[in-house]
Amino acid sequence: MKKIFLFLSFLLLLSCSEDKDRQEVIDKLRGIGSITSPLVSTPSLIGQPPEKVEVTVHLALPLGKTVTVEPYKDQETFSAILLEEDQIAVKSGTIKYAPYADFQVVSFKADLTVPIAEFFTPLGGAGQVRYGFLVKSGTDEEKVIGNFLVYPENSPELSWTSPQITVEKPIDESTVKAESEIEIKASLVNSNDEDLLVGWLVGGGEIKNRRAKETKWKTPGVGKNTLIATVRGKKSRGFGIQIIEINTN
Amino acid sequence: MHENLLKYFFSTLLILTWFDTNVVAFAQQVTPKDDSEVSVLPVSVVKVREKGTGLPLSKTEITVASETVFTSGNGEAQITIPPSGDGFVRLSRSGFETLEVPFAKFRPAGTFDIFLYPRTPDDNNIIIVTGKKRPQVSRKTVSIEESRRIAPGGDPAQIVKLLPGVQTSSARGGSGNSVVVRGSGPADSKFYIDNLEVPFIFHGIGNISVLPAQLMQEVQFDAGGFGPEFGNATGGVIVIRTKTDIPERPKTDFLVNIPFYSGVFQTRPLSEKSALTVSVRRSYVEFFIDKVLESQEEEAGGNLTIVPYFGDAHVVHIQKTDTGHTKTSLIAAYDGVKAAAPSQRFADEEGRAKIDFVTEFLNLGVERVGRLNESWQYTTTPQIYFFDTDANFVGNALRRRVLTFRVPTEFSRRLGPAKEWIIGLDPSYKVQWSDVNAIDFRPGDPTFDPEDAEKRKVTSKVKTSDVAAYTSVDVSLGKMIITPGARVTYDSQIKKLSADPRLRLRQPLGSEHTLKSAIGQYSQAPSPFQSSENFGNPKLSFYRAYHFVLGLETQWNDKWTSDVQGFYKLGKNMVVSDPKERFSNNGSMRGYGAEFFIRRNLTGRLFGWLSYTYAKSENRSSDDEPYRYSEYDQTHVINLAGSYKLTAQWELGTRYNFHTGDTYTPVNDAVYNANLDKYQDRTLDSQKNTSRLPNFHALTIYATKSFLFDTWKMALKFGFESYWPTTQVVGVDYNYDYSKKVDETSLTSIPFIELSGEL
Repeated sequence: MKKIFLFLSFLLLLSCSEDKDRQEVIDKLRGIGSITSPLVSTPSLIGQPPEKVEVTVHLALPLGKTVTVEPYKDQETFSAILLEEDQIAVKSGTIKYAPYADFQVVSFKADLTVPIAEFFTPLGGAGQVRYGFLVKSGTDEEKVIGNFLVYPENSPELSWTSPQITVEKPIDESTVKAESEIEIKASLVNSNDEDLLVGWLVGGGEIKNRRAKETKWKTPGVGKNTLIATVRGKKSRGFGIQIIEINTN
Repeated sequence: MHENLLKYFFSTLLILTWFDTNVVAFAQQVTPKDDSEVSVLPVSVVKVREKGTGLPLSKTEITVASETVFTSGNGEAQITIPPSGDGFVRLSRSGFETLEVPFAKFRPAGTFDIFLYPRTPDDNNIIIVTGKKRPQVSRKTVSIEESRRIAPGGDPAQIVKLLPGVQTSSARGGSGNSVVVRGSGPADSKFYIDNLEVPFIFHGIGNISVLPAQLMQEVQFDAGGFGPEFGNATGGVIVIRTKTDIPERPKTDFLVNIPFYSGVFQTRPLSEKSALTVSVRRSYVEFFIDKVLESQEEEAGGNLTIVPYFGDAHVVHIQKTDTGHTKTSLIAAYDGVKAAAPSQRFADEEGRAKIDFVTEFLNLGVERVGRLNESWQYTTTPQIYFFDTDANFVGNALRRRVLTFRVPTEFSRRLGPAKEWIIGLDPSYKVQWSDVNAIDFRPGDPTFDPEDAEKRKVTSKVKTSDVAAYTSVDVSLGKMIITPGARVTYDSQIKKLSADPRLRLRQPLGSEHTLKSAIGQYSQAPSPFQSSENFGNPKLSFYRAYHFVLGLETQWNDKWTSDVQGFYKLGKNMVVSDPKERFSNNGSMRGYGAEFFIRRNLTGRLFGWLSYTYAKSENRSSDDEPYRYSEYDQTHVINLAGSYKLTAQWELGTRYNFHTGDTYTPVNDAVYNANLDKYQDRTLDSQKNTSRLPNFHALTIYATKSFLFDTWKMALKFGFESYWPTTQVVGVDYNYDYSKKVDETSLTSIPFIELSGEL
């Protein structure tokens, strides 16, 4: 008896605790996503200047705050080649702040060094490369990591493009009822015929399922609110984002 | 809450005490059988029977004036009451309250039923409950009479959880039907009902085993160092022995436990040498819990549903023969839980984490025990065993069905008191079907990411033929008994052979003490999943554990015994996850410690024990790593259990359990994975199991009141389980980005009322 109740309490706490501390609600420095250009790279070649990939990283940040960014090396993983900190170069002057109603979206760019082809030989010349950044804002910090793909020359994967997401409901700058449950819906463009991962972020309220492209949003009180829709390609590591603002009254 | 619990307990006690007085006064009456036919009879017939069962009581002394007679085998006696004058008929019998009935009650003469109440138990009356057993080192055998007094839930099989060397983990979540033995994982132990192998003997909820208490004879538990008759286990072995005796009369028991389950049991003799027993039990706690939590989650604004459930059924036919018996048993049980909670870390398409887990088995076996000649006895138990486990956990699915034909056969030759030579053969043929929907492991795919890999459904059917042969013999060297033995096993799935030598000895030291020791190798085949072609590694080999045990058993007097043991267990070739080969034999474990067991033997009034286990359990994933605490390490475990009979109808009992908090790996760092849009913890191997939950305490108090009617009886048991004044932490969880740790606490103690009857 004891064990099952402990087990039940585990689930109860799981639900209760997360109800009060929800991932979709932005109330501190938080990663949103990243995208590399090109999306899929060719490996560097020995004796030639290393190939570079430019990554753009998006984060959410409370209004009025600023960030600093430095390279970060994640812990070892067998599924990706880890970039050393000196292979990650944050581009100076690329940190930009875009203010919205509830928070600001900060983005920055960095150059990533593509490892040489020999690293990818065990997997037929293709593989993943992991990069990372340590973003600080006062006492807050966020470690953001991501992978990009490397394929040999002439591979069809080199032409992969990022998926796209468009918020259909509600419409940008529209007005909805405050403190009520409204439908939110996004349309997706899947250019690589891959599994897509949807993610919703809001400044307030509660989203029933932040992974569904159609779900419900319990809106916050009267005011202007920011709604972010993101999509990721599970194979391509592509990323798409749309940010809209909604009035609630 | 604490005050309410105590109020509940003592007010129930008070009400029943009041009721008790009235019931006794009413029940002590004699009943003329038939008024019309007694007026002319000079002699009365008295039928003396036991109150509560109606069984006739022979050899009851009946005194009328100066004349004394005794009842015959059917409980009857003839008495002559003086036609006039006052006086008493005095009825007395050992074990029963003496009864005096006025002459007037027997006038006019006739046939009278008189029921005697059982006497208040005597603490000097030692009840002998075990006979001669095979000499073992770490075995504890507990009779049903003993274990029903103190076992959790009153279920005799649960007594194992109170024995030294056994851990029940509060943080492992969900698997309430498992135990950890001397630091070995739950899957490392084996469970048997007689010679029928079963996948579990405990239901997940309600402190209930898969067999009703009425069927059980004794519970036998080996914490380690066991003989070669048991194989494929590196932890412990639990065997429930069922009854083989023929009941004197048909008997029906019922049980209503609020809020957990109900059951009915019936046994009846079919002839002098045969009997049939049937029982069925089913839970309904799922309906209660669902309603309670439904209201809670509505308040919390969530959407939580949880449905635990279980059931079991049994049919046992026993036929006594001249040299043994044939017992045909059909045992079926299921145990499951369905749960769904809003979750962000484990959400499915609907934003909920869903768990659906059910395990069921059906075992049909025929146990034949007989004699070949004066010296040799045999036991063979051909059996068909079907096991089905179906687990769905947030998108991962595993269904495994196993059909096993097994014919364990053992020959034993008595070599003297407590000495024998055994030879056994245990062949089995298995057909396993697996349907697995799990991560499609594609290390050759450059886009493969195990943290978010796609799922793939694979169905497989595997046929295997395994066979084990074993032998052991007790050899005397002076007063010392040495038992060398060996078990050889061939596992056709991994296509490997194991040969496990084992040795144990017992050396009496005077009349009170016995020194005992055991050493042996124990092999365990990897699970079918671990060695499967699709999801595991078919090159795996046996996991091998080496047990070393040294102990001192002392019989202080008739009432007190103790057992002190030190143990060391070394596990090699332990199966661990491997990033390249899925699973490998690179792991190892070690467990060591000491156990103290002080037992107050069963008397008419008191029974109980104190067990203390000091144990360390450590493991590592490869020989390059240092040993670290395992997830099963609970350094100190204390169990104090006792039961006291106040009167023949009133019994009080209590249990106290303490264990060091479970280990867990703290999460001190996390990263945001931009590809997966989720946070991932970053723990270091050096931090594995370095944190502990707070120590765990649980106190259970219960009382049982028996109501005796003329030919049947009823018992009301009430109390509360797992109470402690402070909140008990049983696990930790983290929020979505691991920035906040949340303690998982146990629910408050739940009072229970259980009504049972014997018809």
